[in-house]
Formats: sequence, structure tokens, C-alpha cells
Amino acid sequence: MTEFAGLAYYTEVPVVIWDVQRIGPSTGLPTRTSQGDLTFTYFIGHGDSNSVILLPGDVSECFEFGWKSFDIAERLQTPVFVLSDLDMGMNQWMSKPFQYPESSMDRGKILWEKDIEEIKGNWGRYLDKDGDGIPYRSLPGNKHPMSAYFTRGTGHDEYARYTEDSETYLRVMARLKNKHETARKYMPKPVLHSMAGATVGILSFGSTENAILEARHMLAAEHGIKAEFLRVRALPFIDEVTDFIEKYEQIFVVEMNRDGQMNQVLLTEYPQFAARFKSVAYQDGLPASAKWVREGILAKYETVVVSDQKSVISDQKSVAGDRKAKGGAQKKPSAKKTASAAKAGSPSKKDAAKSSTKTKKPGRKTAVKSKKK
Amino acid sequence: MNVVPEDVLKFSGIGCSSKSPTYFLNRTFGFNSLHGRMPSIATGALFADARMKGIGVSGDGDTASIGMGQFKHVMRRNVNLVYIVENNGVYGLTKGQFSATAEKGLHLKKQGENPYMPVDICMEALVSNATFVARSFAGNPKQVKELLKAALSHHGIAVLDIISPCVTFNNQENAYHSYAWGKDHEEPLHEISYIAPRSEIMLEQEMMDGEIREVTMHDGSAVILKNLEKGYDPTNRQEALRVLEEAQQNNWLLTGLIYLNTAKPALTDIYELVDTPLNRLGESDLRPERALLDKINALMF
Repeated sequence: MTEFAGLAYYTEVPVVIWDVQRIGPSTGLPTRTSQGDLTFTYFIGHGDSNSVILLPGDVSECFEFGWKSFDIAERLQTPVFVLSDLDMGMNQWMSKPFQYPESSMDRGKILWEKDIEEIKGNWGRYLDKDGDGIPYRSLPGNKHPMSAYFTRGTGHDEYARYTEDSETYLRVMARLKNKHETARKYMPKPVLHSMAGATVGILSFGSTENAILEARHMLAAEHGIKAEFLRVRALPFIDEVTDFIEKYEQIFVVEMNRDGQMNQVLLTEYPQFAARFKSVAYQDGLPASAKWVREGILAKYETVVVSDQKSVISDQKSVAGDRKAKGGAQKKPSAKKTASAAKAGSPSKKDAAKSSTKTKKPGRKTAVKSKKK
Repeated sequence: MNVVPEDVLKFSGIGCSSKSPTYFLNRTFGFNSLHGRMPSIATGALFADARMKGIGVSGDGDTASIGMGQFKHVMRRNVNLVYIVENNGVYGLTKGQFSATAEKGLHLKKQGENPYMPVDICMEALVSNATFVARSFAGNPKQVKELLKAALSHHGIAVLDIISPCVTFNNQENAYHSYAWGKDHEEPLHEISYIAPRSEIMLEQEMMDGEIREVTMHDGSAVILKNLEKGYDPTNRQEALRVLEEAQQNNWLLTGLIYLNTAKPALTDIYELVDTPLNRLGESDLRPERALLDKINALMF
């Protein structure tokens, strides 16, 4: 599949691929849910490629993205991956009724016989006529003598002719990059759950929404931590996501996998905000629970007293300290360990103390003074 | 044969063979796809517009190694595709390693001796229920030409296993896939002539003298087979398997139309497709009414 995905990206063939994620790798836990295929999908393909990924968060959204994914794929002429998960795909959910599509079907830039006749056959399969990086295409079965072209995974120019010319290659790849910029325009907007007086952010995707809403309620009621919550619904990221990240010094990235894959993508896309992201990643095969979300956030929460600088330093120290303790075997040991401890029932105070030496962790019933500048 | 380029689609996998489609029918859509996965691309494209005829070119590596799984399924599904295998027994693009069709005991300078039994592409096609199976030899271009015409007239999958010597890496006199060996060991099942639809069949005197078998193709054309040494019935699948086995035992390069079944429907025939090609359907054809979704919602919520 990876090879076909890369081929479709480079030959600009629209295709929709649904991945109802379960725990991997290989057969993994076949009947258990996961959000573990995000980075696989994000970086899929040999050579340089960029993926368009839709991230539905409930059953009704799965229906909506069902038709929307085809519109986007045909508009952009690129693979669109939709990452659902086993919990949404196979378990029973409460759902809003499915909504009838409010927009017309979009087949994208297709030239049929009369279109090619109008432009007198003057076109190229990979020619960027509109400056948005999206070329025009004709479909097999088009009877116009100027309609046909040859699709290939090898280097090609604007007229789909074979070439290994360096400048042509660079030009084609730059246009594909430009097309990926255009893609942002077609991405569904994230869902924002605001909260008055919020001092931190929670960012997530997919089926974890309800657990997070519940955890957020508990964090506010029992710990005085008020969080604004953004559920991202697509990659590449769009302005609304950037605006959200700019707002908060601490953003908890909640997801169901071991290594914090959305966190990794955020670090890649927003290196300037790297210090803000706090990975709350955990998976044991069960649907997300408010309990682990809450405990995971508490384990990473920092009461920033003095300055941003200090919080950054303390965070780095905690990671270094943990690496030393673990022999450097794990990339983000504190996240996993505290999260699994939380799952086991009680947040380990030892872990919390170790993971952040210079900050005070709120206990379960301790009121927290969150002082942001 | 009056082939209209706009009515044909070209496909290939990866390999020396798979570059072929860039050299013919320039007004035809083509797709040089992935190694061993030409069948899935062809199956999809030929569904998008079921009026089209497919011509796929593959090689022995592309078909009999990485693509074996796809090959078997494109056979049993009877996709309307001429499936040509340019079969030379070696991986030429990577400097001549043994392929899966190389004969046991073949000795190549850099590779040593091949310890494995070869894959017989025609046999694999037959056991997978292919409806047109032929083998030919690049050293016998007249037969290749007649078989190609017959294959294009076939409605369904038509496999042409063409032994095509790789003059660079596998053309030693004693090799199965070489010109010299092929010329000496070719055992044609029959002399084959293709007669276009509606033209009157005029048999030459010498053909009339031998045993003649006429096979009518889907489009009304005819294939005239003049049997040589033995009477051979290409519509008998069991007999086809027997002659292939016999050829393998005796080390013959058996050529000709090995098997033909014109009665089976092609893949797209067994689906109730609308007359309009699927890739031309628009919103009014495809999107159900709002009332239908309301009904579904009412059932569920």
C-alpha cells in the first residue's frame, strides 16, 4: 500500500483510503482500538511526499467525511487518508443523525472531449495553469485525440513525458509542494471547546473527544485547571490550529498511542512552539477514558511561577533525568510511565516528582493556582 | 484490425518489458504502474469505462514473482485484457539474475546454476481458469502476430506468454529462452491464421489439405488452426494441461493457441453496470435523494 500511496502522490491520482485503526504493529491487538497509524500515514511513501489526512471524531463525522474525502481527493488529485478507529468503526456510539451534504459533488479539474476541443488540445497533464499547484486531467475513455497521456512513477514533465532532467524534477516537486499549500484551503476546520478563563490548551483528534470533555470538566472542578480544547480534524494544519497554539504556553496533546504521534507531527510543523507541547499519550486497547486523560494531564501540568524560560528548563531536565534512569531506551518515558501508572489506579507521586523537579504537581484535591504571565 | 487508439488502454508493471507500452499507440491512455501490480490498475481502469479494451505488457519477473498473486486473480476474474508476458527467464534491468521462469539447471556466468523448477506461465493461467492461453516465440513473428490479433478479438483475459530472448543476459545456445534453442526446439501445435470479422474465409490450398479447425471469436472474427502432427482441440482444458505437461517432460517449446473459451462472461459483464461509463456519472446519477437519508436516519435514531 505504501508504494501505491507514493505512486498516487507523484502521479496525482485521487484516491481515498480509510484506515480504521487498531493496535499494531503487525496483527497487534486485533480487536482493540488505537490512534497509532498517524505518523505512518503522515509520512507514507518513498521519497518526499505530503499526506492529506482527515480525522473524524464521531460516527456522524465518519459519514460526513465519507463523501467529503472524495471531494477533496478529486479536487486536489492526491490520496486522502481518513483515520477512523476501531472504537468508532465497530462499537456502539451515540450519534447525531447523519447530515445530508450541503454542497455539490466536486469532481475537480476534469477535461472531457468538449473542454479539450475548446482549448484546441493545448494542455498538459501536469501543467499548473491556475497557479494553485493543481493541474487538469482527462480520464481514460475520453475520445478526443488530444486527451490521452501516459502515467508513470518515473520522472515526468508538465506534459507527462519521461524525463530525468534535474530542473524539471525540481519544478514538478515544487509545484506538488505548492499544491499541498492549496490543500489547507479544503481542510475541515477544527472543533473548539472554549472555557472562560482557560490558561492551558488541550489538543486532540479522533474518538478521544468525549473522554477529554469529561476530564476537562474534572480538571476545572477538582484541580482548578481550566483548559480550552481543540479537536483537530485534518492534516495539513490550518490557521485555526496555529492560532490556538499561539494562545497557550502549555498545550497537552492527548492521543491513543505509545509515542505521542500527533505530538511528533506538531513538533515537526511548529518547531518554534516545541516547548509548549506536552505529550499525553497512552494506549492499552481500550477507548480513551476521562481518568487517564486527567491523570496524564496532571502528570505533565506545570504551574508556571516565574517565567517561560524556567518552565522550559525544568521540562528539559526532567526528560534528561528520566532518560538516565531508563538507560536512554525510551524517547518519552515520563509520558508513558505516568500515564500507565494513572491507568493502574493511582497517580504515582514518585513519578510525578521525578518527571518535573522544579515544579509543583497538584494532588487530586489540591487547588492549583495557575499563574500565567 | 482497425484498432482505434482511443478505445484502448495500455498498462504495464515494472521491468524491461513494461517499458513497451511507451512505444505503441501514442493516442492511447497508458499507465506504467508498480512492479507486479499492473492487474489491479487495469482492473480498476477497465471498470471506469467498461467499453475499453486493455492491453497489458508484463515480464516474467513482473508476473511470475512479485506479481504472481495479482496474475492469478486477474485470470480468474476474466478481466477484458490482453495480458502479454515478455518472458526471457532473467532480470535484465538488474544485470541478469534468474527469474522464476528460468529453467532448472540453467547456468549463467555470474549467477551459477539455477536450482529451482521454473514457473510455467501458461499452466498457471490455465489452472486459474484463464479463457485464452497462448504461447509464442519471438523468433516466430508470424505466429506472434496472428496470436496477438486473436487475443485482441477475445472478450475476457487473453494471456500471451511470448518467449523473448534477452540477447544481453540469457541467449546462450543451450538456454530455453534463447533464439537458437527456440528455433531448434519449437513445437507449434498448429499453424494459426487470423481472419477479421465479416471477411470471407478463403483457405489456401495447402491448408485445405491438412486438418483444419476454425474457432469463432467473440467479435465475429475467426481463427483458423491447421494442425500439424497431432490433432489438437484448444477448447479442451484438460487436453491443454496435458500438452503443457508433455512439453515440459520432453523439453519442447510448445507454441500456439493452447486454450480458448469464448463462452465465459468478462468481469464487467457480470455486474449490472449502467450504459454510461462509471467515470462519466455525475451528481444526479450518483447522489441519493435527501429523503433516503432521512429514511436511514429514521431507522437508526
